[in-house]
Amino acid sequence: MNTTGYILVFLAVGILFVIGNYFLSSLLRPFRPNAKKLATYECGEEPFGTAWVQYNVRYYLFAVFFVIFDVEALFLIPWAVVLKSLGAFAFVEMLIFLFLLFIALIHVWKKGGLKWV
Amino acid sequence: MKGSHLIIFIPEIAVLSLALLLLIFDWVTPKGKKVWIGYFSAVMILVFMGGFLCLAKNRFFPYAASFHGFVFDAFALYFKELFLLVVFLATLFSVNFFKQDDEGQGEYYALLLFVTLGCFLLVSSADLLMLFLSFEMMSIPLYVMCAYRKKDSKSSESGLKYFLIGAITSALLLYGISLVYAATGTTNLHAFIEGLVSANKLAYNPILLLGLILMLCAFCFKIAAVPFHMWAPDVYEGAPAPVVAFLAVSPKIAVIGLMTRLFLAGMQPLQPFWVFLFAVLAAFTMTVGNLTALFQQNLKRLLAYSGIAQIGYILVGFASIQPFFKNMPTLQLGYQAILFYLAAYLFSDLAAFGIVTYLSAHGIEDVKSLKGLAEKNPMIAFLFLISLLSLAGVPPLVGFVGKFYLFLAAVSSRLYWLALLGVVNSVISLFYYLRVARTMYFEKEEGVSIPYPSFSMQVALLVAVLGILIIGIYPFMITHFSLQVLTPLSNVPISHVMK
Repeated sequence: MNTTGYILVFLAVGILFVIGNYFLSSLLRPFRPNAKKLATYECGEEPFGTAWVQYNVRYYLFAVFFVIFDVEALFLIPWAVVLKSLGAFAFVEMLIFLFLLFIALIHVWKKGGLKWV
Repeated sequence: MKGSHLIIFIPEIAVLSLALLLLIFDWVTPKGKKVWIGYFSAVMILVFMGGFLCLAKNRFFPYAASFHGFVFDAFALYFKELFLLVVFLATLFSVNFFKQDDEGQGEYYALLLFVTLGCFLLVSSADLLMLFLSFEMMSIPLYVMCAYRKKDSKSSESGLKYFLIGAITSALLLYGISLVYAATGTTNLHAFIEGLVSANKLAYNPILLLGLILMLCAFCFKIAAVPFHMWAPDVYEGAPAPVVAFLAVSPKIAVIGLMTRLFLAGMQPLQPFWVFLFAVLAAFTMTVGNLTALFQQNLKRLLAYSGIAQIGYILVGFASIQPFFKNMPTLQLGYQAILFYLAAYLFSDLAAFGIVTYLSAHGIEDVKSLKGLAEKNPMIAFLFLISLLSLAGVPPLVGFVGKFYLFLAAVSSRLYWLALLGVVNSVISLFYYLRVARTMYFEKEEGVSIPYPSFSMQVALLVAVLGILIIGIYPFMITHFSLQVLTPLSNVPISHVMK
């Protein structure tokens, strides 16, 4: 049996396990529905309106800024791990990269992008 | 990577530094003085143009070298000089056009340079990933620039349309790249060329062909070749005129350059297949572009369709390429004709768009409102006439020489029908170019005279029109260069790889 076979067996067992458990619990559990229980959320706020509302564009802006610096961190971590073997050139390279992002940050700041109007 | 390899990145580093410098200047320049950022940028671009030429003549500089996914050779340098020329002229067009919208001017010049940087990397890329990244780098600032006038709904519409089309283009390109990778197992163009040359049967792998065709579709979207051209007139109409001047030239030249590297140098075993494909594309692009241009009333739309037709002529050059033999430069008429026509297109189109920029700053957007321009402002009318005649291909202007080379290449490759179609198309195009000229010269209308263009615009128009005339009369300036460019392309990427 090759690796693909193992995966298929795991897949089949996983699916059957879930279905079997649902079936078993439907035999064991009591079934007494009422209006409260059938509400969307048994505890918490009742939803109103649709989910298709227009969000304020500022959230989008902040999400973009977040992604930029998130990606920066993503690049920094592997770099930090192998820095010793890469030497001084990689260090300078990363400083240049950080400098570029730094300029971008100041630009955003100067243009009022960080202000919540 | 060692620091010494950085030398082949000097053009990119220079342009990036200038763009960042402009951003910093933007923070410290007081309002009302921002036009100086534009002037500074233009001067620096001129310095770069001279500098890169000297750099290439320096014996310490590698004539052709490549580093992983990046190639530097005479071919790339030729294109880089063209891009610098475009961004120089576009900056000068913009300086007085955006005088009123003071907010974001420094940003605007930096964005122009970022697009140029993307174009630089695109013509130098020898790896499919590098290709995709530089393609995006070239496109994204352009979406912003199309929508530069936030409060103008047409400008926003143009930006949005260009963005949506651009998103589809990127998706097609990425899907194509993934299929090519699946078929060949590499994204590196050098490895790819070696593989294709050594294993000829790989060439007709259907997955590879599908991937390449998808990539070709993406490129056709960017250069607005015919089944993929619908966005161009709408985007051009809404976007600010100097942005259109830039948009209509720089990305198109970059993508044509990339296609030359990819399809002509890279895919020699597929030659018979490309010839047919490019011949059909060229025929449709020329004919549809010219026939639709006959009915246009808006100047920008007219030039958009004329630009589509121009791309059709360039595709004739692609169709008339003959197979390369390894390490043996053959006479490649089609190849040289493409390189020459790009320069011709650059000068003619930028001159025409420069005038359209100037006219649109004074509220003239339609062919009809050109009435009596020859009396109101004879110099502008004359320059417009020259640029239009060059686009139509009338001797002794540069457009004529370019078309002559292209059709000669088609004839020498026995594509007689394509050459004939090209000539017929040129005659059709003469009709709508001359219609504009007739409106300017023979239809009288009393009205307020238009003020003369500003100094920066005068300089830019002078450069463009002198280019049209001088290269038209003395084309060997460019052909001499494009002959040199030819040699390294066929063999260097493989033999001079830096590790």
